[in-house]
Amino acid sequence: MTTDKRENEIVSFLEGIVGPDYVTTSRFEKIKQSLDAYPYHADMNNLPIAVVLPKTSQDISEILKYANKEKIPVYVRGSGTQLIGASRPDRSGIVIFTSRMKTFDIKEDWGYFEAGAGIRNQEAKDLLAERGYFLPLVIGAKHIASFGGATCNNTSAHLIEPAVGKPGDYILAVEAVLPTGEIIETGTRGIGKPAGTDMTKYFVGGDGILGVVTKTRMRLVPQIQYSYGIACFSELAGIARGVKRMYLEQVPVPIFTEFLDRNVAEIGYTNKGMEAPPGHVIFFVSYDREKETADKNTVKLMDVYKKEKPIYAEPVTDMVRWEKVWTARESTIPFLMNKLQGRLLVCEVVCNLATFEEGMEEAADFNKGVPYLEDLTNYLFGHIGALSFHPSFIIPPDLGDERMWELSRLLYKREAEFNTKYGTCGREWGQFSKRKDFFIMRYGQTSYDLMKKIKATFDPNNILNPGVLEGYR
Amino acid sequence: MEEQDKWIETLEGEIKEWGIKCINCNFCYTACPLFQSMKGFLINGPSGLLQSIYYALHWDFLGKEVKDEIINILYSCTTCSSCVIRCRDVSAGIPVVDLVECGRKILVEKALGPGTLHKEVLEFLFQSGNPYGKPAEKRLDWLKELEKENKLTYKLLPDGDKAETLLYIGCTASYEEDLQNVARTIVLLLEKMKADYGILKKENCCGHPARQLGEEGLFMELSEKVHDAALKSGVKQVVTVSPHCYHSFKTEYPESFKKLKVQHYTEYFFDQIEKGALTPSKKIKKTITFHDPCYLGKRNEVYDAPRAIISKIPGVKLVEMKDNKVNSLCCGGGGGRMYVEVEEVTRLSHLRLEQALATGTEIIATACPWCYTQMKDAIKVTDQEDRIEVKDISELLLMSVS
Repeated sequence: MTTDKRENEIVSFLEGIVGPDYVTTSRFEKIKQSLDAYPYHADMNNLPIAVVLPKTSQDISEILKYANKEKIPVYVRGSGTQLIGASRPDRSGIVIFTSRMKTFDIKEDWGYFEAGAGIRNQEAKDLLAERGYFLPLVIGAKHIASFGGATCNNTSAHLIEPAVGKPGDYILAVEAVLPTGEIIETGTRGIGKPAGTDMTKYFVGGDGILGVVTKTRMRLVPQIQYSYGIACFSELAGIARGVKRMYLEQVPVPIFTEFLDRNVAEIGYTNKGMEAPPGHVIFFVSYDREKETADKNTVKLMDVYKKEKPIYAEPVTDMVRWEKVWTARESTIPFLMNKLQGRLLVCEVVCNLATFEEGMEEAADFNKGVPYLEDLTNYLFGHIGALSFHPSFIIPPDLGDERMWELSRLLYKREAEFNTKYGTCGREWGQFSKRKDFFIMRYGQTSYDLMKKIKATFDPNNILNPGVLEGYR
Repeated sequence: MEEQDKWIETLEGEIKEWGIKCINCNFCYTACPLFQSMKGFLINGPSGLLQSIYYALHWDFLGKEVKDEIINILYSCTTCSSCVIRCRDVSAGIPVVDLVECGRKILVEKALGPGTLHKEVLEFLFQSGNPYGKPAEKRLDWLKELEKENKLTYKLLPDGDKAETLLYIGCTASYEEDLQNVARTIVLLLEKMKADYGILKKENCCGHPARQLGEEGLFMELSEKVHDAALKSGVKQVVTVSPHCYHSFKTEYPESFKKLKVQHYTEYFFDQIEKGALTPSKKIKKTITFHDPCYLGKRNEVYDAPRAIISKIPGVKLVEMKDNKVNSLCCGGGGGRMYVEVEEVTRLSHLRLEQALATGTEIIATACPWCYTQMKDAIKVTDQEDRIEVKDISELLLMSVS
């Protein structure tokens, strides 16, 4: 059978499932669905065969049954914002884009809500807030990040786990479509998670390789009250000691504590029309059900930081100022790119509490001894309350794709060494794709082989998001 | 030929330079009205539009084979600028709308675009000086009817007497029946305040639609005529009926035009109310919401003057829609879409109408001929005429000062 004939058959089949309006072979759509935030181009020779927009789990089930029978690769994309390459298809196949799966049902009587895979983080947050609930999922890409993608990643993003846990701690169940097409429901309709075996765990934080999460059931969490503060330090060591002190002195851990080094702060602040701070900054959000207690927690935190002699440490009550500071952090990456007119390479390193000062110092010197990267400025920012940082580098835009790939590999090799040294792992972006070598370095070949067996059990023909487990894209 | 090649090269350079800086964060999508109204494919959103033209150039396949597809992609954009604002505020600051316009210019220069209906519009602009193909000599007919019932004091410029202010009517308010009333209303308001004003004897299109459709040469030709006539008439300021002409005068016309003070009529009348030249005194006991025209609000940051006028009218209760001011939802008429049928799953004007109805308002006020048409059609098509109506702000103001 010729390639064209086979592709026509695939498209006809897909059209039969979702209707011709929701299948496209547009070369432009295929290109766009092959891109992520990484600074190299789409692969001209491996563009998808077609992009399909299913509406229901049943649609996905039919597509996967067919793809499994015909051994066609299937890539599932929520919004394509994942940052380790997992949403970038690396071989020709079907792309399932979940943008139409936007069901959202708040079941107050049952104590949970159910979100379709295509619901955006911000949409869910707003809908819950209208009814007085808090969404324990705060993603940098909140405007567009999908619920399905966030569930597969179990990302903590800005949230500090010792304060509120991971999203998976609130996820009671999922509906998932297996690579072989069966639809299963895991977990519970109760308000507590199952003891013992809970199939939910294969999919929440499963890197999207074992099934397609089509619906997430999450416990309703009453709205919380916030209180804000900022501290500015002349030395990184002071900040590290301050954050460590927060844990050791058992101060109520804030829901967020963000960090911008002096360079990043200058760019972020000036971009938002504020005067650059005189040093490195951290800013945090204390919380509680009661505002008064949240404010008290801020004061306690401030007292802890003041022991490390900051340039200033102060509560923030001006919400316009806070919004600007928060955006300066949340949009660090694009602001850096915009200011420095280059392309981005970024990774995620995580320290442990016992050696935090050393870890932070090493994060600041992350590029030392790394070819080419050591000649560039390391723009350091991150979720310092969770002991994690993002060493970031702005690369000249005229560097070719091959060189970009090479640099990206060097970056992730260095990330793997760092996280292995401190006994940690990424808490935001998943464990495979660009991190496959880390997985083996950190957990051993036996663990990786076991993962391959698990994948083969769920997906005997390796059709679902192939390449994620194999590594690097 | 050499000059044209250079021009294309410059345009392509712009797209290549910015296209590579777009990090595909996709934050722009949830701000984009086009994406909201379409099926959900990424090519129907800002970054998808940009990457489409970028890759067509980068991989060098922009030609007849993809002509129809790229035309559909680039000419679907409403150019409302929501993506530009989102990208500026939280991302890499990509000027997406400028790049869409760059892409359209490339298609025109390479004789690939625009589509058939848009080509007809360009033809009309070239032949008649308006996008509707109406006779140039009938451009001022709306004024003649008004003169039958009122003694008017306007001057015909630039050949007649001198005047301080040029009222630039624009094509839609000159020719479209529903909108001619807005032109008349504005004239009556100027008469009430005894303004020293004039109208161009041979007004033609400001050129904005030509530029939007990618026909830069035609834009230059049309704009030059308006530019020269306005300067020759010796006026100190220009007041526009349409936010699109306003945008063109303020941002697309040459430096020499900047010696004229350009105001949209809502800004102008607000100033006059503040000076005491106009006093809204008659009560209008209605709940009114204001729909921000994109070219007034998002593209030129005029949010307050229209609202201030409405608020000055006694008896009015002004309510805001869910999406307002910088977050306002486009009616779907910009970017050249007024002249063609765009295949939407949900019409943007219907989405906007739903937002208005949700406020319980009785009147959608607007200040743009195209928004007016879009919203009026939406009300008619959805059979909501018993619940809500559209009024131009000038109409409300005239009712109150009468």
